[in-house]
Amino acid sequence: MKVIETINLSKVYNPDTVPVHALNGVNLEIERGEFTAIVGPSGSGKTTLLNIIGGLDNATSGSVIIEGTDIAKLKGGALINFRLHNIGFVFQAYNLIPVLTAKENVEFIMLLQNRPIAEREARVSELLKAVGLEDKIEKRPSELSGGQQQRVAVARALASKPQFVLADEPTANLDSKSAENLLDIMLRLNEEENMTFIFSTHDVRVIRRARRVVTLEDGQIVSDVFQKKTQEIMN
Amino acid sequence: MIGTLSWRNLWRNRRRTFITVASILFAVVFANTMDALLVGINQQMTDSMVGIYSGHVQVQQADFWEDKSLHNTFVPDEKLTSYLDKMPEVKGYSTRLESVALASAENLTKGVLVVGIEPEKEKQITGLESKIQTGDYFHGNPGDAIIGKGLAEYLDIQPGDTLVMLGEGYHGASAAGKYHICGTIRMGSPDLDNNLVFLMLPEAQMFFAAYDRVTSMPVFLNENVSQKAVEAQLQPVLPEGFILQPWQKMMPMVTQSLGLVDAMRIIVLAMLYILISFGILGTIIMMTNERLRELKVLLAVGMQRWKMAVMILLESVLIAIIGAALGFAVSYPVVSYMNEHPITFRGRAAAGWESFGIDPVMPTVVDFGIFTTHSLVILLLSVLLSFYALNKIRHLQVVSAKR
Ligand SMILES: Nc1ncnc2c1ncn2[C@@H]1O[C@H](COP(=O)(O)OP(=O)(O)OP(=O)(O)O)[C@@H](O)[C@H]1O
Ligand SMILES: [Mg+2]
Repeated sequence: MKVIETINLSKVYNPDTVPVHALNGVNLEIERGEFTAIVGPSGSGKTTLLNIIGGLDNATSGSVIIEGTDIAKLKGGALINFRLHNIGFVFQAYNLIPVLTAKENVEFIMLLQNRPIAEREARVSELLKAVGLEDKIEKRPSELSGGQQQRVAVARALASKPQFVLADEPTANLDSKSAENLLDIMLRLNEEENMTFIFSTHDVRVIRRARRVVTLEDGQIVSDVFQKKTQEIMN
Repeated sequence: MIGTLSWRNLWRNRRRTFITVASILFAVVFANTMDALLVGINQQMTDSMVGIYSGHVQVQQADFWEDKSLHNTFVPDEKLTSYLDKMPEVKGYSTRLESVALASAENLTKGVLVVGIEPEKEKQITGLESKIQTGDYFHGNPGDAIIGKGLAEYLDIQPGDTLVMLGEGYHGASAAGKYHICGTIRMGSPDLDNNLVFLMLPEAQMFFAAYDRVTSMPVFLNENVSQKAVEAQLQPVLPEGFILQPWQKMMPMVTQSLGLVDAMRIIVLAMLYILISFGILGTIIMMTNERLRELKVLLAVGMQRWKMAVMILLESVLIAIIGAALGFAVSYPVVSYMNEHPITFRGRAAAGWESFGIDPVMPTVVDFGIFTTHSLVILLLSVLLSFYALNKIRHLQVVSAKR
């Protein structure tokens, strides 16, 4: 089942001054449960693609269909609400609200969704346990390592029960051990919760863990490869 | 949830919050004290001039104001006095005989304003007795006179001394009398204090040979009574040829000075508010801009703009509330202290104030209405200034168009 479909997506920055063609006709379909890495050289359009899929930026032409909804048709508050209920975000850094604890950061998204307290409590502890931070629930972001902060961000992204999670270079600020650890957690959540992940990365070790690797160059998809699970490769 | 966020955000940058709160506190205390002082000056001026001396309106012969001669005296009208007795708005009224004379002591002479009063009535209605500086109030001893403090200093006399007065009486009779000074009085108006001689009414009538006659009936109103309404009510009861003279007309200097003090008050407060506004705005600008990244993340993950706006608004309002509340709390003792220990100007400064007809002793007014007003204004200002942040949030984009 298709969760995301982009049709002939193009993006031109600064069309009136110095036009930059960041995306040139990207057609991409993502099925439920996929674990997809978007890779490519710097400036190839990875961030631009993820931003447009996530409804954070507008395409110049083409469209993004999420679960049958053309998100370009959503305006203002409706778009914000759509993001809240359908998309989980993990950014490269500064994901968390500094004044809230790990637990509160995860709960925050569910509060925005007006979920009942019992459900919130259960889901928050389940998720923080899943990302291995059950002993850090009362810690504020400043008391957590970069890797731990990103794990909280992943937990928060999942808390809203979104259709999929978008992560733009989630491991860029992490050392390789933390990066692999974060990816392993994402993979496990992908398998256990059948959560769809789309993330961009430069890191080979991260790419190795992806099930599908979409390569961009100059705003175009130049290759789209399905890989086997890491264990299967090992075997 | 938004409340928690705002509250914690306040303590993110403790020092800044503390400085902002402190500056608001200071501004509120300053505004309150300043205002209490200026309102106090106004009130003292009106009280001492109107409440104690002139009354709010005076019943006079129509021509008296233009020609303050004893020809324009009258015998109080029964119908009018019994009407005044029944009016609930009226705190009291008295009758006076006022005219000028020459006063001398030893070898100094000065023109004075002789005012014959009903000592018991004045004491009850205006609390005149409390204004006595040295010596005593009238106790019915014949020949007693009370003189203004400034006059006493000028003539270099004190209670126990003798004062001789010469003048012209009713129908051109010559007036002369020798009086025993029983006390000196301070009315709070330099004009009066330098010129005033109080006599008991019958003795003044005797001095001026104007038996049973008076020049004016000052009418004193209760607090919070509309002077205009009372005037309208009294007008029809006045006998032919009489008028109601409002204090504003009788004392244009005071009216002007009140206006001056009011203007000063507005200027000082406006400047203060402008200063404090910049302080609050600075905090709001920093509070917003240093968090733009965080606000963008919040917007991305699905927090509605209005919720962010409420969060920021709450933060500035909380700071303002804390500052204003502390300011309110600190103002009370400060203003009370200045009420008990009024600022007193001496020497040249005193002369300057006095030339405006303002008493150089300045007690503050302890008025919670003033405190509340300024606290609320500060609160309102912080809400208005938050529009900077609200506007920022309104135009916030997760992905900026340019970079
Ligand atoms: N806001 C913007 N305004 C103008 N040009 C932009 C903007 N954002 C991106 N670009 C340009 O669009 C192109 C694609 O940028 P994008 O950030 O999507 O690349 P990327 O693949 O994410 O690169 P990196 O690996 O460095 O993160 C680049 O040429 C970039 O300079
Ligand atoms: Mg990028």
